[in-house]
Amino acid sequence: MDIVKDSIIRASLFTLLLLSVGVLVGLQVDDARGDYIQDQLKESDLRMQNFIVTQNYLEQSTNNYCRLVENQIPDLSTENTRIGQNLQTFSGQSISNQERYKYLVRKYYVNQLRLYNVLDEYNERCNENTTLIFYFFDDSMESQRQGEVLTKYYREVDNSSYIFSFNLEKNQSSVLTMLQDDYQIEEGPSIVINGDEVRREYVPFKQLRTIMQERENPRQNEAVQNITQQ
Amino acid sequence: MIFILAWILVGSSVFLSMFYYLIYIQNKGQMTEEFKMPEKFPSVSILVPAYNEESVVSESLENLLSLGYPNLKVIFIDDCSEDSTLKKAREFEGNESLEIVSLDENQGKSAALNAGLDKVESKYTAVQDADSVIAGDVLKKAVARMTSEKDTGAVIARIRPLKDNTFVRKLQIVEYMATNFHRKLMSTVDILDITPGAFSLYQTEDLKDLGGFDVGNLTEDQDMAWRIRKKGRSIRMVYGGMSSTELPSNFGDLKGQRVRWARGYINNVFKHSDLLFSSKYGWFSRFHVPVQFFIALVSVAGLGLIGYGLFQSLYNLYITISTVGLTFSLPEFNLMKSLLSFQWKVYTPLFLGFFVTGALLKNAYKESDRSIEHPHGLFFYFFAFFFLKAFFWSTAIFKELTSTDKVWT
Repeated sequence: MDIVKDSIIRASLFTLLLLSVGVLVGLQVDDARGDYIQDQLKESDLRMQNFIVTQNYLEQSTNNYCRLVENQIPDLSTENTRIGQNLQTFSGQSISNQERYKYLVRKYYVNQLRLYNVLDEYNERCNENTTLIFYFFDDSMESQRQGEVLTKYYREVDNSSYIFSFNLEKNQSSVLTMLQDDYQIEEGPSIVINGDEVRREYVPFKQLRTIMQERENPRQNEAVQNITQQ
Repeated sequence: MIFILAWILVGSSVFLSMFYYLIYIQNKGQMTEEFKMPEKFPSVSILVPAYNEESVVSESLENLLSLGYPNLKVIFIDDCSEDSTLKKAREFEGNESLEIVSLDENQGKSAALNAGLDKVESKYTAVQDADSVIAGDVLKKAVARMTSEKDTGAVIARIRPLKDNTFVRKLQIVEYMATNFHRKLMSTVDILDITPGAFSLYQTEDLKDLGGFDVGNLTEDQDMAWRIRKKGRSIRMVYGGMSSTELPSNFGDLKGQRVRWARGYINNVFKHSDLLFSSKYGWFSRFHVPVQFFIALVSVAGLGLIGYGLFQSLYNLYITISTVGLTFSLPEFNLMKSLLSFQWKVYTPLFLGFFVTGALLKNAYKESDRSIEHPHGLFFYFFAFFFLKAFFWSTAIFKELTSTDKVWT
């Protein structure tokens, strides 16, 4: 066999081998990505269960309950946000096992709703007004803008607020379907503030701040009235 | 789609590096060549076309007229220079080996070469740019190589830059060192496809049979090389012979030169489309030309891929700025997350392929008896030159598609 032909064949085989090694490493990393998020979800799950068990134990005492929430929820929320970010980052990295990825997203959404319920109850039982925002997004530019607005709002205005993100493009979750039906959400961006104010369009930063201020004012007015009456 | 393109890009680079590495491994002993010098050296004419080369013409003629080759004629063709090129050449007129041809109007390099070719009566004809100088023994070595194998149509030498005073020239020193090594390997397996203007020796009979150089062709040297190959002749290299040439000193000039080369290549591919995949001319046409062209196109696609990524980042930045103004926050660094975010399917073969390319480059240094003189140039060549070349090719394709005027730079 002549040298060129021989070299073409051998170089082709070598290239195929290297590409195959790349695929194998890539598949391993895909698994590792899934494991990484799954571990985070497990940890978050355990913390939440721990929280709920403690909460049940302290059911009778409102003071203890409020202190428990104040102590534990920020960590739980941070962890949940991190899981959401990881899922979003890895979603573009072609996790080879798509079924597993869908499962992780569903599990994440369950965690989100569970956290929301806890915070909602906290607001009610501890007479707090922590802002809870559902943020539904898709691949549109407006959704991307809304994400930036909410991030800025959290960083600069109210870092005690909680934002629960849901990707409408990858809806494989009954939790998300339920929320969509409940708030009649069809496309992104849409936001739901504290369960009662629904905006099915892009809300710029200034407008969001005005909405929030308007929501704050009636409460302040109510408080002033109560003090005056007393 | 992006993933597949990235894979083709990486795969083709790995393939080519590995191909040449295997050629090298199998021909390791043949890098230094000894060819029997003919008892009587045949006559040689050297064509030296020049246009506005006043800064180098004296040095070049002095070099050629002192080569000590027994039967030599130097034909200097002034392509109607606007500076003192002709005047400086005339200072050597007393030398009987020199003939000066002065053209009445500027006609371009090919026409100038053809005007010189009309005066040639020798068996062999060398072509050398006026901004090049050759080592004393190159001509003899080239003639020895030419006469040692009957099917040789042209012989080329190693090229190295004359000066290394700028970064761009240092970069080209590394590039030429690698290119010479590749050419030597191509010569070994008979797929060499270029006869550079810096120095090439031809059979006069072939040049005349083929009607001289193609007037208007942006890379007339490559066109001639392909026509010689189509005539059934081989192009060979004397790795021991060196021609030093003036190279672009800055990125602007380099871009001008390389875009011209790429445009010339594209035009020659279309002109000689019958070569592509043809088994008539061996692996040169069946493998080398199509692969070279494919790799160039893939590199352009790769640049497009990078451009797309850059565009996406800029688009995201635009969305952020136009929505909430310029904000800056340090992203939280997590090693595990960073590693997991990597596209390992593409980067693994790429990193492994770097070893092959690195090994090839190491051997290029070894075979050319050189040490790493310009580490910055080497670093840039290894990691970034591919993108620079892709940029030149993209520009060339754009200019071809928009029918921009062809200018010889």
